[in-house]
Amino acid sequence: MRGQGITRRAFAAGTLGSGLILGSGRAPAIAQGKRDLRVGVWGGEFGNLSPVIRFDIQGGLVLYNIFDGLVKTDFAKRTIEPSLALEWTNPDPLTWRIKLREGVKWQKGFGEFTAEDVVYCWNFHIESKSFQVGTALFPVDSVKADGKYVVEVKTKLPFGAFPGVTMGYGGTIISAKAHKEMGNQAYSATPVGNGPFQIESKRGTEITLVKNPDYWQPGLPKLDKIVYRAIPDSTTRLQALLKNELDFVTHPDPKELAQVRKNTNFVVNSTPGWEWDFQQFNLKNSKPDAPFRNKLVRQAISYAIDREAIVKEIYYGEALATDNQIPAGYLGYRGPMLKYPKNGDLKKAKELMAQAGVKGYEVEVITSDKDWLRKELELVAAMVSQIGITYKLKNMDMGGYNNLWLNQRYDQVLEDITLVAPDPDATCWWFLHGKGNASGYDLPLMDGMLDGARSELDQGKREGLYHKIVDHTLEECPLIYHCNTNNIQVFNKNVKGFVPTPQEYMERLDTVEWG
Amino acid sequence: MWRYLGRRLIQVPLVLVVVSLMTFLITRATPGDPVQIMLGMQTSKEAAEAMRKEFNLDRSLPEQYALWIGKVVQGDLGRSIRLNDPVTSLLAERLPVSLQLAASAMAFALLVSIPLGVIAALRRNSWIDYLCTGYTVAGFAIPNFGLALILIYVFSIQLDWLPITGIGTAEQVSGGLWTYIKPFIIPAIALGTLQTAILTRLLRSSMIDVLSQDYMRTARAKGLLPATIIVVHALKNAMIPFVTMAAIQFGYMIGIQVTIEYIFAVPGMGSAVLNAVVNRDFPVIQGFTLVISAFFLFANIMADLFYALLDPRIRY
Repeated sequence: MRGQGITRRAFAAGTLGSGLILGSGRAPAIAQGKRDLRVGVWGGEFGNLSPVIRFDIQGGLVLYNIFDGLVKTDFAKRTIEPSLALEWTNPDPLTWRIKLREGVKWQKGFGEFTAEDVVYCWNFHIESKSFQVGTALFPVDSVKADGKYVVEVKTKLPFGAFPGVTMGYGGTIISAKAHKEMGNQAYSATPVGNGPFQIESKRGTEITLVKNPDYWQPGLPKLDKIVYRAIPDSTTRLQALLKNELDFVTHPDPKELAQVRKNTNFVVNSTPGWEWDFQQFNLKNSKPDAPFRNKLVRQAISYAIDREAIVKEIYYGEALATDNQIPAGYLGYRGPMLKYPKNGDLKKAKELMAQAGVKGYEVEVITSDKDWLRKELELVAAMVSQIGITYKLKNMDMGGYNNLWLNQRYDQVLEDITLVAPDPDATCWWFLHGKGNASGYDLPLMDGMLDGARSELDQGKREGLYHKIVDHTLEECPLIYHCNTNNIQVFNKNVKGFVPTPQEYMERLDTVEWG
Repeated sequence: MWRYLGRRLIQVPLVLVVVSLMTFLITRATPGDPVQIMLGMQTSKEAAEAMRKEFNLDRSLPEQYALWIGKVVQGDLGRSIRLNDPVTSLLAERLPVSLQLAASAMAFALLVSIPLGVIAALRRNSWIDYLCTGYTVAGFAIPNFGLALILIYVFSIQLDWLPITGIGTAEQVSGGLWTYIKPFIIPAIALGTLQTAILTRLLRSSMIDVLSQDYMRTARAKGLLPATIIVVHALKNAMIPFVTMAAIQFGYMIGIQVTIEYIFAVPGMGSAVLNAVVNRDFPVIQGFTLVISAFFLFANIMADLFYALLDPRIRY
């Protein structure tokens, strides 16, 4: 098609019909001997790359190739596995002893990774009151080194999610020596890690990583160089891939994938992710007579939702319908649909509305300015209108939305969120506990269940406790879950060895090579 | 002239103070807390308070403004809340890219509008003139993002002549001249087409006006070559309003690049401001707006100076 005349039909199909501009794509680059990868990710800037300052998703994609964590998640077995931490024990409910791997070196000659680095890093978080103080490190009372390779942590409370949350999400450790020498600001721009790649350069919206020659895992990484480019527009990003300006892209627009899949020069990888789309009710600060305070009304809404239609119409099939808060790969996962039918049950929804004695009402539902959420909210509004509920839709930019959501100044929201810590505590506590920042719910029974599951150290028992929390959530519906959206990558067919994960930030490229 | 320039330059800081104050008040009046956005939902009150203190957001509005403007006077535009980088570093990274893109777009606009404007005036009411008019109407009508998509489809995808992305990349900077120039071509055309329309229309009407002047008849009567008459006598005089408008449009283009930057992944000022607005990154919004305003003011002063240089009758 390239180099030939452009028919009006082809032009219209390309630019107007699909709303994007997809060409046929060049033949993939010659793979033989190629040892670098050009990656297009979303976002405008990468921002901070240090794990002691909050980072964006695009920053996380880079950061997790510069640093190894203390632990890693086995997504298939739903277990936390050793990485830089070889083993961990809790001799008493308030003590965790972590044995570190020996022989791991910091990049650029900053010495060996030791217990002192973990102590320094976690204390820095706590002293600087970093974002992790409220997330992964809130239970930590004190941290000390016991020799060169053992860390002993005292917690303020028994914390069953310690391996997944504290050692997982909070377990990306900085080099004490490099951080002290460089200062926090310089370290956040060009951090010194212990992972497979190290930063060579950072200019504007481009970051170049090169192979860490001292990486502790033999044979890895397989690439010599990765060039990350932040390209905000998904169509441009995908088109740059098809034109061979890039080799690998993340976050394509799902509606463009059907066409890309026809192109045998490229591989589309789509994995149900740890992201939810959900509705949330403000049961704390809304008017006491708000109809949705009645759980039968909330159940009716959940029954009125055709989740499969959302998956198909909004995400073009690149999502997984779910009705609960624990996605695949998490402790406590039992399946995507536990109570509510995929396609909804309008009859049941109407019965519940009648049972609640609510004939119909109007409510303002806010969402952020993401295009797909606006469409999803319109679709959901049409669904609930069938049981007499009128959603007044309000789109806001992310700053305005967060201002209302996190300060609980809303009646109802529809939003999506990325889950970061691989433990059900992270998917439940913050949204359902009376003290959770994002919770619109305040029920002592639920608080007790959440606190109980959080402090239980036996992972087998925790699993059962989270089943009960999920069952209670499905019954009470303070949140209604729609689907887990997929993490999608598109790449040149000669790029081999990429291991997808459901964690949006976690796109490790150490095993990737040209085949 | 110099007194006029001095007077205008004195006005610049006053205007910038007003701009900075308005920007400051608008950012603070907009709903949304940068700390909340930065730290996200799973954070503690202590962390939020520490960050507010770090960026002086715990102080009263007059105090915040006074502290910020005090630093600005010393050349410190503050530090980005989201990126954790000094705003001046971000500017140093983004401003050259935006200037290059605006300069490329203006070069395209000049290359197209000068011949088109002259030809349309010389062949007034002919099919060439109508064609130029049609072009300018289309240039006014089509939004730059729409044109960008069409250009990408034609020149990048179908013809495979030009890349879609590449501005500001290491590959572009380390390559040869053509490697450096080619990523600018489509964005410059998309950005500069509106300016070609504005400038072509202006030059056409200006040329028509000049061509009807008595001194043009005198020049012809003297037996000067047609090319000399057009270039030296007509075009030079017709260029006075044209140059003024071009200078103003150049300043304007610095501020309107955002959609083009978004589509072509250009790491310029527009996309930085857009991200800053979404994330309520106050120091970046304030610092960049101040610099963009300064450019606009500077472009206006330059336009006035050019005006005087081109027309000796004009004295300030």
